[in-house]
This record gives sequence, C-alpha cells and structure tokens, in this order.
Amino acid sequence: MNMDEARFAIVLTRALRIAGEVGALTLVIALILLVYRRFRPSTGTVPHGRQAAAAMALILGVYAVIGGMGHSGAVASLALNEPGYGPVQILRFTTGAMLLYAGAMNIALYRSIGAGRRWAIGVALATNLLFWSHLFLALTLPGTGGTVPPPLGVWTVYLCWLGAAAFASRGAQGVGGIDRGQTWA
Amino acid sequence: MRRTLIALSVLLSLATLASGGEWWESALSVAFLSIGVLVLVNLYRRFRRAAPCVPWVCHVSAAMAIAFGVTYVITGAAHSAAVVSLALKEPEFGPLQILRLTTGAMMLYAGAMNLVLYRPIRTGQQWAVAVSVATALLFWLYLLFLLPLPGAETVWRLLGPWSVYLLWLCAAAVANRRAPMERAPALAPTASPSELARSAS
Repeated sequence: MNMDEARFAIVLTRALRIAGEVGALTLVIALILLVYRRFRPSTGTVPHGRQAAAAMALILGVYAVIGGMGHSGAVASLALNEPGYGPVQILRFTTGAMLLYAGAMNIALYRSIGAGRRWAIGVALATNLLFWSHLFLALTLPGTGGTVPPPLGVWTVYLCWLGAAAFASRGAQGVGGIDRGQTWA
Repeated sequence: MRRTLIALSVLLSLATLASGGEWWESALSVAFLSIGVLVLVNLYRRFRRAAPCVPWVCHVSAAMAIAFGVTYVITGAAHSAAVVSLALKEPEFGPLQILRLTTGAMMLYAGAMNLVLYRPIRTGQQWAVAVSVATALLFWLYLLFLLPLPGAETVWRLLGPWSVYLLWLCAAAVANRRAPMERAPALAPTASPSELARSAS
C-alpha cells in the first residue's frame, strides 16, 4: 500500500465514522420528536419544555441502559483478559455502572417529568449532572478513541432541556415539590 | 425481622471495625460509630413520635439518610477540594486523578440525594425509597470496584456502613410493599400541578 492509498483509507475511515455518528444522532433526534409528538396531545396544559425533556429522558434512558449493558459486558470480558487491575479498569466499570444508573433513572422518571413534577425534574437533573461530570472528567483521558464527545454533547443538550423544564415548573411552586414533606394530592 | 436486621447491622459494623489499621484509627472509628448510633436513635425516636402509622424501618432509614447525607456532603466537599489541589500540583492528569475526582463527585451526589430524600423516606413514600436504593447501590458498587486497588484500605470502612444502609433501605421497601394501605393516601405523589389545575377547573 503506497502513501496515497493509506491516506485515502484514513480519510475513508474518518468519513464513515462521521457518517455513522451523524446517522445515529439523526435517529435519536427523530425518535425524540416521535415520542414528543405522542406525548403532546395527552397532556396539553403542560408546557412543551417538560414534554420535550420527558421524550429525551425516555430515548436517552433506553439508549443508556442498552449502551450500559453492552459496555459493562465488554469491559468485564476485557478486564478478565488483562493481567492487571488498576484505575483504568475501575473507570471503565464505573462508566458502565453510571450508564446503567442514569438510563434506569431516566426511564423511571420520564412519566413524572412529562407530568411536570418538580421532584422528578430535580432528581433527573442531579442524576444527569453526575453522569455529565463523569463524561467531562473522562474527556481528558487518552485512549477513549473519541467516544466521549458525542454522548457529552447529547447530555449537555438534555441538561439544558431539564433546566428549562425546572424553570418552567417554578410557577407551580408548593404543589409539585418534595420539600417540607407536604402532601401531594 | 427487627432482631435479624439489628443483628446483621451489628455484625457488619463489627466487621468494618475489625478491618485492620492502626489502634488509633480503630478507636476513632468506635467513637464515630458510637456518636452515629446515638444520633440515629435520637432521630428515630423523633420520627416515630411524629408519624407512628409509617413502618418503623422507614424511620430508621430516614435517620440513616440524614446521618449519611450530612457526613458525605461534608466529606465529599473536603475530598473534592483536596484532590483538586493535589491534581493542580501533580505534573500529569490521568486515570488516577479522574478516579479521585469521581470519588468526590460520587460522595457529594450520594450525600445530597440522601439529604433531599430523607423527608419522603420518613413518610414512607415508595418512590423515595426506590431512588435511595438505586443511589446507594451505585455508590456501593463504585466502592466495590475500588476495593482491589492498592492503598484502598479506607474503602472497607465506607463499604460496611453503606452495606448496612442498603440493608435497611431494602427492608423499608419490603415493609412499604407489605403495608401500603396503612398509610394516609395523601402521602403518595398522585397528582401533578397540571392535573390539579384541571381537576380544580
């Protein structure tokens, strides 16, 4: 293989990877829009920010649970084959556990987020902020192969929507909160 | 059930205390544990007086949630500050530094969630117990991952109390499922603001 062919192979690999990422992002956005449109007519009085956040919670939750299971399985088999157990292996396991946790919490909370309950939006914000922090810390790690920036971007957008949903639910103060141990109905 | 839970908690606490270390470390652990038990008993009695219809394990779990929440928010903030200053002095930023920072974030998160959730746990709300179990399980798993790391002797002292807390939370979840009808129905999160507004109109 000469220099031109090698360069072409590198460019082709990068182009395929970018195309794959763009395709996955388009699919995620299309799914979020689909779920959002399904949620919208059912509770028309709720602001659209909450429903968008709920749609994102469902789609990202499913994505994170599936991704977390795949990641955990892969890193467990990798750790069994590797001779040593150190911080890199622990970080990989932590990433898998965090994916599973964030995904499960988002799936569990999406209904309550869509209904505009403040406790659910608060818990979702805290959970996703933890996962976002983990991704942000992992960004600087060498050897991640550029896998961290796409989920970091998606989770940043999701956090923005959750923040908007929290801001929108401030108007309903004293009804949907978990503070002061008040009753709900 | 009460005797089994208390016996398991005592066994796990003793195993944690017997996990080695210097004599003064063990003495400090015993002192800290004694103060913690006193605080827990005091909080439990207060919660029990306020809402006797809620299962008693929920009150114990809520008391533990406050104690753990306060402890971990303070230690998490201190740990984060310490590792940030250490990372700034060290020449390189690698997996070990990320792991230290992750530990601080996890401690802060677990502590803050426990502090936020102790009120709904105290009133026996199932969702709060479930969220608490999930959060505690994540932190417990993280500690378990850290255990084989060389120089992680302090992890044993954290793993024991979190195992006890998880045990009590699971018992609270079981007790809540067994006696859901005994509580006042208004305690369950049934209506959202929009649903309330619609029903009012």
